[in-house]
Amino acid sequence: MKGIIQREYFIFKHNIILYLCIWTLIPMIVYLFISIPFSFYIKLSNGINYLNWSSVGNWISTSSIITFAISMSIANRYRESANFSRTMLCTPNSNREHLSAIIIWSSGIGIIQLLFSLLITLSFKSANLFALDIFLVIIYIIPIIILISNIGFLIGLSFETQLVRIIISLFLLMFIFFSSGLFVPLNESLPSIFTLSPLYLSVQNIQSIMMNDSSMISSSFILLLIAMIIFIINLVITSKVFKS
Amino acid sequence: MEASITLKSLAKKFNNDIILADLSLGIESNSNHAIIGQNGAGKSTILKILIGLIEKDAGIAYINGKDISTREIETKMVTGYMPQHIDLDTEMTIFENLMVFGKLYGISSEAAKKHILKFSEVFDFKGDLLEFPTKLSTGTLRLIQFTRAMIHDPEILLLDEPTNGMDPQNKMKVWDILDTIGKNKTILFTTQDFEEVEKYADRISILHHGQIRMDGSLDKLIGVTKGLSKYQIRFADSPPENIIESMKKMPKVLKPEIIGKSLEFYSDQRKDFFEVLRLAIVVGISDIDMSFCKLLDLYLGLIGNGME
Repeated sequence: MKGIIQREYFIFKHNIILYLCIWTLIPMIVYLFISIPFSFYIKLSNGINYLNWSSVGNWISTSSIITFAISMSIANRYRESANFSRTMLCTPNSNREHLSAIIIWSSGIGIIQLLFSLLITLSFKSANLFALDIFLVIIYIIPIIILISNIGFLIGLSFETQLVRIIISLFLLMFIFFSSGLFVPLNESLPSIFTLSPLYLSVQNIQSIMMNDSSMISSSFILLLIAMIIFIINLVITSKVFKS
Repeated sequence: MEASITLKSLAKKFNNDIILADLSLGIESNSNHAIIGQNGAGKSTILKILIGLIEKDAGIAYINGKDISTREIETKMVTGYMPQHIDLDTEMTIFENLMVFGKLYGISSEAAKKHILKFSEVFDFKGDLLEFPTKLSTGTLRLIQFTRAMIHDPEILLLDEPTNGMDPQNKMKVWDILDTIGKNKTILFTTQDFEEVEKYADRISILHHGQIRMDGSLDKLIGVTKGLSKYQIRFADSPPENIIESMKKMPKVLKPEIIGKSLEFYSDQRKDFFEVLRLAIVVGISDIDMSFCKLLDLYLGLIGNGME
């Protein structure tokens, strides 16, 4: 597994400037093109500032996007017949090790993105967050990142055509972001499939931290459980795709 | 001798095309075994099945007596593989490409570095270690792939057209290395280079339509031709008309054919040659050539279904 992560590290090392640009620009873009325009139209009922409230959306969406993209692109490399990734399959490493390494790596990059997003959004609009709150926010977002990483791997491995992958990813991420109340507060009259979804509850928990309210960790455990189920599905798919 | 690799009734289909059909083969320990065959005959498929890149449809394959399906990690640990195509990661330097593979085989960074330096000196790519693969020639990249296959000093080497794209000098270097350090290794290689096969293979398997058509040492294979010779008569102008029809009436003459201004045929009877010469002499002959059957002739005969 170390070798698989080392490969990604070497590639990362050669593209560090690009990564730094992405880590810095994505939260700014989300802030400028989603948070600020939406702030003119959305007034929150509890009187909290929308720009502060939507920071949660910024943290989750940016870290999810980067995790998803990396996980999907690494997974897709295994589909190309003359790719280094295919030859890596000749080495004594199980599919589980390949999959775990990709999830660890993409989640790691996503967590760094989260730190950048936290730093940038908090410097834009200072919310009353203490170090412990920030720590809790990170703890709550990590299961979401792990889940998204698994979904990214699933999409990358399941669809060969790039255009199909892009379209599916766009729709999927948009659905996840807006159905979990990241940038637009969900109406309580929506079907319970939305209001009781663990992702929505996790987002609510993080927003509660922002408002200095109490939060519950249970939804994060459910997210981790879902991530594990997708991990198992991915393992089954790898046994087919890795030996095609 | 003990078999390092055993294939029993192996079968593989791709989109209804039969690539391997009931293929059985044993490869002795510490031997150089060559598989030759047309493009698409299934040579690479055999290697990819052994290394775990392709799932077989039927049959069993063993490496050192271990089933590759149930003891995959163990069999991969003792096997080194060099694919036919360049597959180095273009986003990493040559050194990083090789180091990653060392790590994937679980060898220490120091041991990997030592191996890389040793082979880069032998193959003269030490100066290219910090370059990216896109900047290097195909020949050098093939040498790097060869180095990578050897990085964990495997007992068994599976080489898919190993010297394809290399210049003669590097080809010799590769075979010298295999001769020196490969004495205690089992080498299974595929190739289109018959000279290489004749020189370096202890055993040869001819693969055609997914099955091993002939298998054995070079002497054994050539032995089946029973002194068959290849004759070639080159004409100043076009060969005489109806000469092929006349030759077909000679029972010992095999595979007569006209290629450009040349007439080629096989026979184990010298008198047949004189008879053909008598027929050919009516038009101007520019050259005559005769040679004993080589592996290439045997192979072309088998593939072309003319000499079975």
